[in-house]
Amino acid sequence: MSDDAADVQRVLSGDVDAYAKLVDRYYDRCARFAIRMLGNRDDAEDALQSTFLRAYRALGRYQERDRFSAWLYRILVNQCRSIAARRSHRERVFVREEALLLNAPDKTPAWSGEDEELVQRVLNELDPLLREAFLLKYVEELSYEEMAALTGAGVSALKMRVKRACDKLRERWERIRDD
Amino acid sequence: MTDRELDPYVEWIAREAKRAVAIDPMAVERVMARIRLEPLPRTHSPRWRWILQPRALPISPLVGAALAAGLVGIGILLGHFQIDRGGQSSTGGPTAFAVQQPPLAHDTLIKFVLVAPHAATVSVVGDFNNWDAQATPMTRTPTGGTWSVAIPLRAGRHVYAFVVNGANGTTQWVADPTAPLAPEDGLGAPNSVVLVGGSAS
Amino acid sequence: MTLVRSRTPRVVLRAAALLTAAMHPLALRAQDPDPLARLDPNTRFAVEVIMDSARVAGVPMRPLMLKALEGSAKHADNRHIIAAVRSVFHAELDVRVALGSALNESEWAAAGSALQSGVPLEALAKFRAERAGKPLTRALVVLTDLIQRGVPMPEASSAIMQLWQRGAGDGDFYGLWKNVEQDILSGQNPGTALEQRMREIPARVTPGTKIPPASQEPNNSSS
Repeated sequence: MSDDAADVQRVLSGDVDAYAKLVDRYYDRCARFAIRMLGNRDDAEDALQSTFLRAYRALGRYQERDRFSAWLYRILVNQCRSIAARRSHRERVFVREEALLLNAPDKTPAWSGEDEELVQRVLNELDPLLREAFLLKYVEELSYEEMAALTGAGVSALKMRVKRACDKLRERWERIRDD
Repeated sequence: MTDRELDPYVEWIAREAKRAVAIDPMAVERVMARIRLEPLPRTHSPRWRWILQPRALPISPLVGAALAAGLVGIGILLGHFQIDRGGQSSTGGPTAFAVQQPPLAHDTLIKFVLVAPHAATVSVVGDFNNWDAQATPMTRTPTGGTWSVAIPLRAGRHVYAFVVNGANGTTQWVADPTAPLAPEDGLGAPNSVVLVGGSAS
Repeated sequence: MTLVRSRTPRVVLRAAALLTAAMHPLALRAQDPDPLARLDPNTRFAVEVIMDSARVAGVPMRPLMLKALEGSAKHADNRHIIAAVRSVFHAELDVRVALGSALNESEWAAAGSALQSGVPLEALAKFRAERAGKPLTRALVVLTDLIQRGVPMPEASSAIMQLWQRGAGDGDFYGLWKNVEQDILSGQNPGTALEQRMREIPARVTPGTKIPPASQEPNNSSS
């Protein structure tokens, strides 16, 4: 039995604190997706809180032969979509944390610490479905089949979205760089 | 589309996006604080049971007998056939009726009829039997070409179709040609709509 | 509410369901206590997540479950099942925007179907403005059907709304539908068929007045 399945069993037997282990195991990774997807921390934290809450409520239905991470991710993707849809069209403000200032990569051109904000801004400009597909493919590194199971979209539709996302990112990036 | 070499800029974006984000160390604890307010998760949620149990729908009554003509599927081959109506028989074009039983919790007995002389078995499937193709088999009438079944339905809108199994092992989902159509939904086979009145007219 | 700490054997659950069903005189057969068990686990989970979203959003959950069961019965691809369930959910959200939530289950489903067949939100919302205690279901079922049969959406929408505003009863909607359907089946152009049949329906009341129920129609209680 995997660690995840063992912890799920413990929770179902009444040990709530066993859930903290699951949250801990997946929080960072989920947070990364939520922040990249939603573009701001407040929304991301809402999505995360919501995701882990729903997963908790639905724990009785998790079956060991499912991959726990896929199961959790499905909830996360759904939550991010709901939150994105609910928010009005307002400027998405990316709050840069001091802790996120990155070292310049060792590759030319030299990038400044504003990189992450830049990357996020570029990502934010993608249509949500394209952004989601890009993140799932190149950040979460899922296969197209896994992405299909997660999102309910077909593999060809997802490949198309990823391709369009890459095209748009490249165009956008070139415009920013040249400014 | 194969996984081609990513454009270096796009690859850079992906790499940056992959970096860990700084997490508030209290975030997990906040989640757990919220979790602890919840009841323990169950293995079988009672709320699904609530959905499954039949309950009376508050429906405004619709025109009963006149609408009953739309309640019966006349079927693949249109034609004349006889239907007994409380002892009387009527021939002619597709007619139909709803046999009004003494009302039991708003249910009305609705008769579904399908003319399908070459079928081996036929059943009616819909939201009233949880789309279980085995739940409501239809009976072939003595004349051989017509299949029918009468089932009690709650007042309101119901969606259904007929499942026709041929002697050669084929299965066909058939909408009721004399009933309104439900919209296309990507599940392949079309459905029909029946509206059941709330009281005898 | 007792908390189930261990998995209740399915045998016990089914026996309980059978007993309950036997006591209900109109049970067609034993109600399956867990119909979603027919779905494969991934699909089931995706469907339940959508259902949970519906619960949180305050829109009907049962139609979502039924759509999943329908997909399973039709041996549809799992992705199509999930997409169909999601589509119903989104339609329900839009129904609420257009019509509010003071709807019975049938009206909700009929309105959702109308949206799914292509009726725009604004057109649906007009029914709300003119509601005045009239039941929506029949009008929307007929509208959805006409569009499915090839009547152009704007014409169908306009015709049904006209009838609605004129105070047409369920019998009128049904009669119109039956006639147009027959005409289409005999080869007539759907839009033309509707147009011609619309002319045959007498105006009952002046548009804009409150419509009392006609004496030959059953009492339409508002829901």
